[in-house]
Amino acid sequence: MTALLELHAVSKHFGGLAAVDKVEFAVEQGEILGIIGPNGAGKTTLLNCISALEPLTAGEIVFKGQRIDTLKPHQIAQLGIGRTFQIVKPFIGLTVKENVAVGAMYGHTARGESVGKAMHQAQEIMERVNLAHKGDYATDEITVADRKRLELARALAMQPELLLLDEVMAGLNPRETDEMMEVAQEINRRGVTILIIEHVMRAIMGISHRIVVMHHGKLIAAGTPQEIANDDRVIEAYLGERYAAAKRAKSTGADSTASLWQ
Amino acid sequence: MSTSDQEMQKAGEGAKRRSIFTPRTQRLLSIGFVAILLICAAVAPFRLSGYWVRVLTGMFMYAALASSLNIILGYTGYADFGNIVYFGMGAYVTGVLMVTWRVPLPLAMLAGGLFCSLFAIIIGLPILRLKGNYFAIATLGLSQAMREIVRNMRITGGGMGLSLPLLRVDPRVFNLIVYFMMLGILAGVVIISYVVSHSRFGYGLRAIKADENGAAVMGIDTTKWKVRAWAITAFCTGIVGGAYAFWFVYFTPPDVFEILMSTKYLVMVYLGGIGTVAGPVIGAFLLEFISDYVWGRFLQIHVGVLGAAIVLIVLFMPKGFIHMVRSRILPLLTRAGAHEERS
Amino acid sequence: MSPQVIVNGIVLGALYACVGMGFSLVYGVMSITNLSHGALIMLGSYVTYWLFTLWGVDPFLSIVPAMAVLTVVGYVMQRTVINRVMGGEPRITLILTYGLQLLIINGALIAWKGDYRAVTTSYAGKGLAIGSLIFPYSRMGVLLIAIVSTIALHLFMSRTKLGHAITATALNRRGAELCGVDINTIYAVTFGIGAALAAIAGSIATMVYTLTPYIGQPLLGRAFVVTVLGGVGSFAGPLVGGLILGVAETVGAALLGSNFQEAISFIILVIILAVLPRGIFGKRFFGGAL
Repeated sequence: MTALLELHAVSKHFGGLAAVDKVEFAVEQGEILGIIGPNGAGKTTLLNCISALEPLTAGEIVFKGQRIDTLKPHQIAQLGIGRTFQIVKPFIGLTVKENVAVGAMYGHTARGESVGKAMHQAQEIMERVNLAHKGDYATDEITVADRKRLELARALAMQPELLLLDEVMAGLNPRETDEMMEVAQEINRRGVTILIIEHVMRAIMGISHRIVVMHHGKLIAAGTPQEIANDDRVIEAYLGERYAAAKRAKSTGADSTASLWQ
Repeated sequence: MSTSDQEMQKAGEGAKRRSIFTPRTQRLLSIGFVAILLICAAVAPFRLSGYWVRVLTGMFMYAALASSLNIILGYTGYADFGNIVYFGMGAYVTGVLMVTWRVPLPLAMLAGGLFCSLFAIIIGLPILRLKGNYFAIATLGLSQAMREIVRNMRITGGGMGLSLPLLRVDPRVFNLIVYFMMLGILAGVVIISYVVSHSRFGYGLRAIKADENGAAVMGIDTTKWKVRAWAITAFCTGIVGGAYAFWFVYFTPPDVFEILMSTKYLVMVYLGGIGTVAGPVIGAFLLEFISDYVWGRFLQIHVGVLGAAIVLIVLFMPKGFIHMVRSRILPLLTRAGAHEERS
Repeated sequence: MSPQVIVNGIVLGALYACVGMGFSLVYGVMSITNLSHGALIMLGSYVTYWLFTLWGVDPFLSIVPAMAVLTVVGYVMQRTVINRVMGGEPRITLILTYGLQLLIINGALIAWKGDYRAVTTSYAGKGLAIGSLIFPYSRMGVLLIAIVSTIALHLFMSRTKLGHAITATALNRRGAELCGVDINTIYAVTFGIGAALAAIAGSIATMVYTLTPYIGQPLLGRAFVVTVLGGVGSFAGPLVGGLILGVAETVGAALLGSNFQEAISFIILVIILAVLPRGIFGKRFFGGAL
C-alpha cells in the first residue's frame, strides 16, 4: 500500500522555538491515523504546515508522490487535502448550506461545480453529518455541536482524499462524541484517509488504526492504539516521570494501563 | 435529543428565515417591481423639468458608482476608500481619446473602462495583499497620487482641465441623451452585480470576506478572485467616469479625483446594505436625495451632514437599510401573518 | 541639489514625526486607523491661532493649552462614540472616524470660515546661518519639540502606572482586564493622548502652513506613512519614520519637481508595505493588522 502522505524531517521553528522538530511519518491510503500529545506538543502547527498555512523551516511533505510544502493553501486544497480547524470559524454571512456549498464549488473537483450542483451536493453532505434540516440557518443560530458538524461538512464537500481533523470532538458531550466517531468511520469507509488530532482519548483510541505521539515538537512514539497505551514514553509525556516510574514499580500488565486512557 | 438541544432547536426554529412568499413568488415580484421602475424611469424625463432630469441623472450615476464599489467592498470586504481613482482615470482616458484622437464616445468609454481594469490588475496584485486598514489608506494615497500625476501631464490639460468636444444638439436633447446613457450604465452595472452575486465567483468572494484564510484552505485562490473583483469594480467605475466626462464636458483633476465623492458613494453602499444587489442603489437614491435637499437649503453644512449620516449609520444600522428591513421589519410582517393563521 | 535641501527635509520630517506619533499610538494600542487625526490636528492649530491672535501667546507656548483641550475632545469622542464600535470590523471604525472628521471640519468651517489665516511670529523667517546653510529658528524649535515629545512619550509609557496599563492593554487585552485594568477608560485615555499629540502637531503646523479648516488633510496621509515606515509599537518609530519621509519628500521634490511631493509619500508607502510591512522598528505583537 503506497503512502498517501509522507512527512520527511519536517521542522517548523518560531524564532528559537522548535514547534515541530524533525517529524517523520507516513499516512497510508485508507487508514485513520491519530495524532496525540500533551498541549503545546506542536500538533496543530504540524497540520498548519501540511495545509501550507505555515511555511516549513526544514523538511519535505509529499502527497501522492508530489512535493507540496512549497504550494499555496488553495492549491493544497485542490489537490485533495481538506481540513477542519480547532477553533471553528464558519463563513459569517453565509447560511449553513451555503457554507458547505462553497466547499463543493472550490474543492478537489476538476473545475469546481456550478452553484446549483454545489447546493445539491451540500444537501447530501449535510444529511451525512446530521445537519440536514439546518440548511437555511445563519451560522450564529446553531449549536456548538452543529458548528462542528458544519466544519466537517465543509471539508467533506471538497471531496478530499485526505481529511485533516483538528480536535473535532472538543466541546461535545459523550453522545455527540459517539455520533462524530461514527461519522468519521463512515467517511473513512467511503475511502477518505483521515489524519486526526484529538484530546478525547476514548474517541481517538477508538477509531484510529494507528497512532503517533508528539511531545515538545518531536515524534516520540508510533504504533497501534494498544501499543501506544502501554508505551512508557507516552505515559511519561502525559502524566509525568514520577507517575511512570511509580507505574513501572508496580508493573502488572496491559490492563492497568488501559484504564489510564478512559 | 438532549433537553438543551431541544430547547436550542426550538429557539432556532424561530430564528430561521421565513418569508410570507415562496422563493418563486419573490422572484416574480422583484422582476415585476424592477420592470415598473424601468418603465417609470423611461417615461419620466419627458414629463419632468430639466432640473429634475439632471438630478435623476446624478442619482443614476451615484447608484452605478455605489453598485460597482459594492463588488470589492460589499462582496469581497476590501475597503476601497480611494475608488474615485477609477472614476477619474475613466473620465480622463475617455476625454483624452476624444479630444486628441477623435475617438467616438462609446469606444472611448470602453477604452476608459478597460484601462481601469488593467490598472486595477497591475496595482491590485501588490496592494490587495494588504489587510483592512492598510488597504484603505493605500487606496486613498493612490487616488491622491494619481490626481497629482494627472495634473502634471500635458496631454490631460494639466491643472487647466480638459474640455471635450461639445455635441451640437439642443440642451434638452443632450440632457435626455445623458439621462438614458446613465440609466443604461446603471442597468448594466446592476446586472453585473446580480450575476456576480449569484455565481460561484460571488460565493467565493463572500467566503474571502468572511475568513480569507479559511477560504484559501477550501481551495479558493484568494489573490486571483480579489484581483478580479477589483478589476470588475474598476471597469464599471471607469465607464461611469467616461460618461461623466461626456456629460460635464469640462473638468479638472480635483473634480474627478475628489475623495469626498468616493466617500459619498461608499456611504451609500453602507446605507443601502453592503453585499446586496439592490442595497447600493437604494442607498444612492436616499443619500443623494437628502444631499440635494441639504445642498439646496443648507450649503454650509453639506459636508457635516454627510459626516453625521456616516456616524448615525455606523452606530445604528451598520449593515445598511436592507438588512435592517430584513431583520426588523420582515419579522413583524411574518408575525402578523402567523397570527392570522392561528386565528 | 544643495545640502539646504537635507536641512529642510529634516525639519519637515520633525513635523511629520509629531504628526505621526498620535496616530501611531492609537493604532498600536487600539488597532484603530483614526481618520479624524487630521481634523484633530486642525483643532490644535486653531487653538494656537486664537491664543496667538487674541493674546499674543507664542505658538510653542500654546502647545500645552492645545494639548489640554484636545485631550478632552479626544477622550469624549472615544468614550461616547468610537467605543461603541470597538471590537467590530476595522472597516467600521475607519468609516466612523472619517465621518467624525467631516463633522469636525464642517464645524470649523461654520465657526471660523474657510479663510486663510497665518500665525506670524516675530522670529518667523529668521534663522541661524552656518556657512551657506540656514537653520530657521521656528523649524529648529519644531525639531526640538519632536525629540522632546518622543522622549516624553517614551518615559510616560515606560515609567508611569498609566503608561504600563496602556502598554499592557495593547499587548494583551484580556490579560490586562484580568489584572483589573478598566479597558474602556484606557481606550478613552489613549485616544485622548493621541489627540493631545495631534495638538502638538497642530500647534507647530501653524508656523509651517497657512491655516484653514483643511490644514490637517495632507498631514493625515503623512501620519499613516510615518506610522507604517517607522513601525508600530516602538517610540523611535515615528521620529525616524518622520525624518526619513521628510528628507525623501524634499529631496524628491528638488529632483522631480514640487508637484510630485504627495506622490512620493504614496510611493514610499507602497514600497514599504510590499517590502517591509512591519516598518523599521515595528514589533509584530503590538496590535498590528498585518
